[in-house]
Amino acid sequence: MKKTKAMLLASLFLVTAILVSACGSGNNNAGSVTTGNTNQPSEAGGAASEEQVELRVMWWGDQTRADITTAMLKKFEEKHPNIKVIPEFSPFDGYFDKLNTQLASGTAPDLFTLGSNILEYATRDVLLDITPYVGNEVDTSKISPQLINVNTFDGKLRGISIGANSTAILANTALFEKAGLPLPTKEWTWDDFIKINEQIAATGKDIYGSYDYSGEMDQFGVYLTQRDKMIYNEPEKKLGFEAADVAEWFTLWEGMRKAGSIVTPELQISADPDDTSMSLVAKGQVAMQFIPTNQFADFQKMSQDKLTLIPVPMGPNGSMISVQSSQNIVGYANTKHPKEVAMLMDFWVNDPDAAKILGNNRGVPVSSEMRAVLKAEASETDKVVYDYLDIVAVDDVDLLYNVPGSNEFKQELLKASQNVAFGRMDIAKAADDFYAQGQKILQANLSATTN
Amino acid sequence: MDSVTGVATQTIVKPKRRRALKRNLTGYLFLLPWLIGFFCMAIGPILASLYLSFTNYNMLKAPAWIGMQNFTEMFTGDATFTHSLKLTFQYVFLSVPLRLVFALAVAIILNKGLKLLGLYRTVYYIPSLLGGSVAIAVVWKKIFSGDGLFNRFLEIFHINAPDWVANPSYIIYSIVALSVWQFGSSMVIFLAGLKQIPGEIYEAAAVDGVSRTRQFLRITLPLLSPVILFNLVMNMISSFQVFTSGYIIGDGHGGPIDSTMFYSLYLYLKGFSYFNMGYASAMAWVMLVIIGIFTAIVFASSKYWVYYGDGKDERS
Amino acid sequence: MVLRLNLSKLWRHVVVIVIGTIMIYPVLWMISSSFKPNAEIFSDMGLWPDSFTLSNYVNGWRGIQGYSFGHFLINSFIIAALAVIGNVISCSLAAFAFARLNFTGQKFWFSMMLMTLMLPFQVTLIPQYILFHTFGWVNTFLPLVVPKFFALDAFFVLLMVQFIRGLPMELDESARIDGCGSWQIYSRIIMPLCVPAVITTSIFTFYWTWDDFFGQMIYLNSPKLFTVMIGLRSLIDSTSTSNWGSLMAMSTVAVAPVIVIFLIFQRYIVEGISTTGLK
Repeated sequence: MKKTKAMLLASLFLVTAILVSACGSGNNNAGSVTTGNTNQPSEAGGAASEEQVELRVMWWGDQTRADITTAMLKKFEEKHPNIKVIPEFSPFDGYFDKLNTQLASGTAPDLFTLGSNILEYATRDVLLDITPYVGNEVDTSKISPQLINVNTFDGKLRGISIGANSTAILANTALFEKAGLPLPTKEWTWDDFIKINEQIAATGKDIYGSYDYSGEMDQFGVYLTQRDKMIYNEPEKKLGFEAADVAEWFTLWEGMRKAGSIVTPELQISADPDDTSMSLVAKGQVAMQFIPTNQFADFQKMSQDKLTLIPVPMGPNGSMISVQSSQNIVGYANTKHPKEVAMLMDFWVNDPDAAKILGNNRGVPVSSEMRAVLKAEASETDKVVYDYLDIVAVDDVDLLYNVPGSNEFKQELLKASQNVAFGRMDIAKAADDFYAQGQKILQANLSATTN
Repeated sequence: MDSVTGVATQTIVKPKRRRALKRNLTGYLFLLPWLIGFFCMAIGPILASLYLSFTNYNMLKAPAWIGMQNFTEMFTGDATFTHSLKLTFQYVFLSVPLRLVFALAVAIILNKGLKLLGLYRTVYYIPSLLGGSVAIAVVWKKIFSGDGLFNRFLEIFHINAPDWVANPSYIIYSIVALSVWQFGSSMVIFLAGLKQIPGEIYEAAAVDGVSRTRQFLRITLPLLSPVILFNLVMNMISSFQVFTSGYIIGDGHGGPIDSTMFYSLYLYLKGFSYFNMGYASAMAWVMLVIIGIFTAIVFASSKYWVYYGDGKDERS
Repeated sequence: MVLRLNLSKLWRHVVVIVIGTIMIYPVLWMISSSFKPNAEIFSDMGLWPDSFTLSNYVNGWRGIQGYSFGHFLINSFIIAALAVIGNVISCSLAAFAFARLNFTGQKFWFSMMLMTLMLPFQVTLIPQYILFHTFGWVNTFLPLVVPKFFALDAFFVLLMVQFIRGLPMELDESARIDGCGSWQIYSRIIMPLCVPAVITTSIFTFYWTWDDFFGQMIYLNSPKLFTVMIGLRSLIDSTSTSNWGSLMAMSTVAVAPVIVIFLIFQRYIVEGISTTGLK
């Protein structure tokens, strides 16, 4: 019996020894989260810039973006020797899981990037209010008001846009040439769109005019605003459209689907237009698709044909397309260094060195000054984007907010459109179902965020 | 070590209580690592998730108690919930039997002496190693798409097959195929179990003139039954929780038209994408109960078909 | 007689080869794509690359912020190796307790252990993260490795339980008569006979840990600690160009060590120890 116990204890010791060594190696590798801060609480307006400060910054992207963002942050450190920046890069896959987990546990980074889902976070009180720092630590004077307003909620600025883009139609010029058609100009309408699709699809067996956007909330939103409606009426906190509008939208696309002028439902799924390596526009099989302008260079890289950007078709109110924020940098509400957070934001969008390093990776620079700096050295493909933005930036467009619960909302619209496309539901039913679901989602999210 | 007599005398003399105490002590000593882990790292999060299932936790704000609301909504107001359950059951009842059958069949074939056996085993096993591989998902989608390799192969036999990855009615079959393709891990476990059956038994049976089929039915299956039970239970539990294959073959949101909206995927979306972690926790506990019931049924049935070498057949 | 034997062997070979080729085809396609330039990967269905290139490997190897893919491989290896050691030791101890020993509450603890298997991980993720954060383990390898030393992978406990229960009780009984204590029965008799189960546990633990993207992504923040799985996902970005070529290349690199380890160790699964050895 003694031997049994002794052996067991020995093995426990062994386990502990291994653990300790694992702990040891683990600690050596640990990125510091809260180490070595000999901070005094900063006095308001005082010269607080001589203390050692650490900022954690998290963003998503790929290798390239990781490299340039880190380089930009290093430059910031050079200009502010008392601030140490800890870069935390994460693949897009799982970024929001990680962010949400960190927010839930109160351990979020001081700065992180968000997309158009900034509303979800702003309304749940986890973002730093930047308004007090505007004009002091962060200068927003060169940023177009559109981009400031879209990140302002209840009068408080919650994030700075770090890339401007817009929605455009990516067009394959070769297919237009083959069909003998000129490229559309800014004044073209949805009727023109339908006609052109038919004509292009007629030029070949597996050729189509456009991808199918009946299930895409962004395009539906544009369509609505062209008719004095909108997806979400923020001041009144209700949906800005009716089920009949959905039915109208579905009918528009069903017509083209039946005529064979847009991509088939199966192809729509298997040849994902948002993926530059799968897009049939890049491959020369489809003539048009919607893209955010900051992806133009990537699509052109993957294509043998000459691609270009053309404006979105007009509705009764015009095209209603303007400059949007492609990504935003926000601060964590519970950060210990709000002043330094604001300083980094300012550097990100206003510093010429930063602008040169970052280029157009996340979209066009939001500061008009920085745009000028980059435009001078822009490549051919980049010039296409700049020119397009010049065309649309002149439009004064009303601010549009994302509907609360937009993730779920988007999925429901997509589902409804697919039900129609695959012939499982008739348009009226699909539209009504979607509308009812949409109401439900909106109410659930409104009550969740007013707690 | 004392002589046999010495030990026996000692054993008879020891009172029952002390023996029981010693037994318990030994048992708990061996169990100690697991007990520490369970109490320090597992039970806390488990109980927390149970608590969260009765709240409206959205991850970003402190949870507020809402009682049974999540559960009632699940069973009365949520069509996607019911759909995801049905879809998951469909997946489980398709993929588990197929995987087990393939795994056992190939294990038996590979168990006999074949040249290059190690190579074959590895080849069959490699697919399992690529579980959540994004690269493989891309390849899979390419092979099973409308004009992919698989359909072109079927065309040789004049079969006009649908698009297995874009058509919502058929996408589940390509996902089941992906799971069955990865039968290698179950196969390896069967192989290990087969190897534990002493060769002499087969030799003796052959000498007695027992046919190969009867050998399989009367020797292999019963002696393999603990391992079959294990593979059955494990495959069932993991199939109920299917997530990755649906996520990477579908559009990541359960589409198209919820055709890949497995229970775990819906749970994950509800929790992380739609900011309703309370509801997701409730869903998790419902799934636990479901899996628990099925596992209990399988274990209860094991009385009738599982044979243990330790003679404790009636224990589950 | 000889002819019949050869035919059955031949037939066996054919079946195994045919099914094997079908099984391996997707993997072959992945490997061949790694040598094709990006534009060709989706247009060309053939296995042999039209334009053979190594650029995908070069690009993919670059890694993130100065940490190459080789660095990720080492990190993945450290975590996986520690996990294997932990699982083998702790799960076999627990399995022995459940399978061979008798103690009060045994059935209760067994069902508790089973329960940990049945709860989807997504909902214990946040409470667990908070727990590990309180320990100060975030951004280290600890949350990924330590639970393995405490038998929290119930799958392997159950696996070994089933294996051990397949061994005849007479082994234990005769050992006890010879005066062996429980520890000796465990270490000298049961464990050696469980080599197939131990090897299986090791192999599975290795590649499950190797493939665990989610856990690694959640707990590891610094690129210095990044693993192969994280590195792979960094090659895709849905908001810009996905680097499919590099993904194929690095996926091939990522799966190679696991295949090698399996190749080396798989024969130990099948060269089980004959029970005649216990005499």
